[in-house]
Amino acid sequence: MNTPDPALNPEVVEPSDRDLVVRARARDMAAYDELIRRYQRKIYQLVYNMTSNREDAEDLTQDVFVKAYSALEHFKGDSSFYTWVYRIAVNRTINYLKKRRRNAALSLDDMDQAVERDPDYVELRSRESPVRDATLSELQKKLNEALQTLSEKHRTVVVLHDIQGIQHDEIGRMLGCSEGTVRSRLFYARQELQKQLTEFVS
Amino acid sequence: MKNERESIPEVVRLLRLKRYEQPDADFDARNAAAIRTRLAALPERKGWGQRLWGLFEQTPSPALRYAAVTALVALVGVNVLTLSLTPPREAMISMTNETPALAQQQAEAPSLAPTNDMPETYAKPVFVFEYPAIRSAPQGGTQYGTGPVVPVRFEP
Repeated sequence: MNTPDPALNPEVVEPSDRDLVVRARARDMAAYDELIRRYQRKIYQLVYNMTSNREDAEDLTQDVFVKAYSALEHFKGDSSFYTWVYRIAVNRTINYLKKRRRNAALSLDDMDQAVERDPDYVELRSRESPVRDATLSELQKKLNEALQTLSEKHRTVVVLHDIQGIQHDEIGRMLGCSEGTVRSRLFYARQELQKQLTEFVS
Repeated sequence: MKNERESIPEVVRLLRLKRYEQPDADFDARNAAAIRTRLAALPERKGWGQRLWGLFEQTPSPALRYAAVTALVALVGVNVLTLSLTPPREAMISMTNETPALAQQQAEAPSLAPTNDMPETYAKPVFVFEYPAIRSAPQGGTQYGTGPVVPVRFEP
């Protein structure tokens, strides 16, 4: 029997993450596939922005979902699946970065051309600033290099908050630290990035 | 809207441009398929009984297998024998309760918090190792400091 497409039939309610987790625990692979479909891109982007390497990011994303599946029976449901899987991703990425040699080569994803219409980008380019003269790929490279100069814990909060748009309290739950710690790490990380990107930031 | 954007630090606005870095169009299908392949390759999870049996099956030498089974049977046998020779707990307690002085002490035991000076109100075990230092503690407690002894009332 075919599953009705929720997009075509608004009365069909998508199963919650909790339901999917319960089914996945009972070895329902279709349920786990749905969880993968929901979160793989977000996890990929987290890992990608932490490593600035798309091959590593893809490999680690797969690793995270395999690990999460193996550990599903230990998932108590105190937090959402989303928070839990993010926590696994952060921990695995930080462990990986500790082992990886410093100054590993960047391997960047292409920038979506929609960036040309982004109000921030348009405004930055309109100013008398190096952004105006820099090509998009140069700017992208500078941003990634600057991020890689941060320590793992500072980079994590910048990626989660400034790039992925996750709230401070949620980040605190993911990292197992207080909201105040998240804010102070973010403050310090931004200061460091400001120094790194001084030519682009007025 | 513009003011709201301008209130955001410039470095954050630059970082937000990284949201436009996106994996290629095939990413979702390719990555999900790779995860499925890796999940299929995972070893099947077994209970402890199955794992123990697996360990037994993997043991290369038949002599080692028989030695392991013999050791296991001997261990279980010794345990059963030890348990059957040990008197049950109720019997041990009734043996200790036969002491009349102890029974009287138990009956008269005040319902106070236990201290070192209190009579023993519990069922005494058969073998008790009493540390000599505790037995030789001075009567009336230990005097700390040189000042006068001030009684302390704990009741409100």
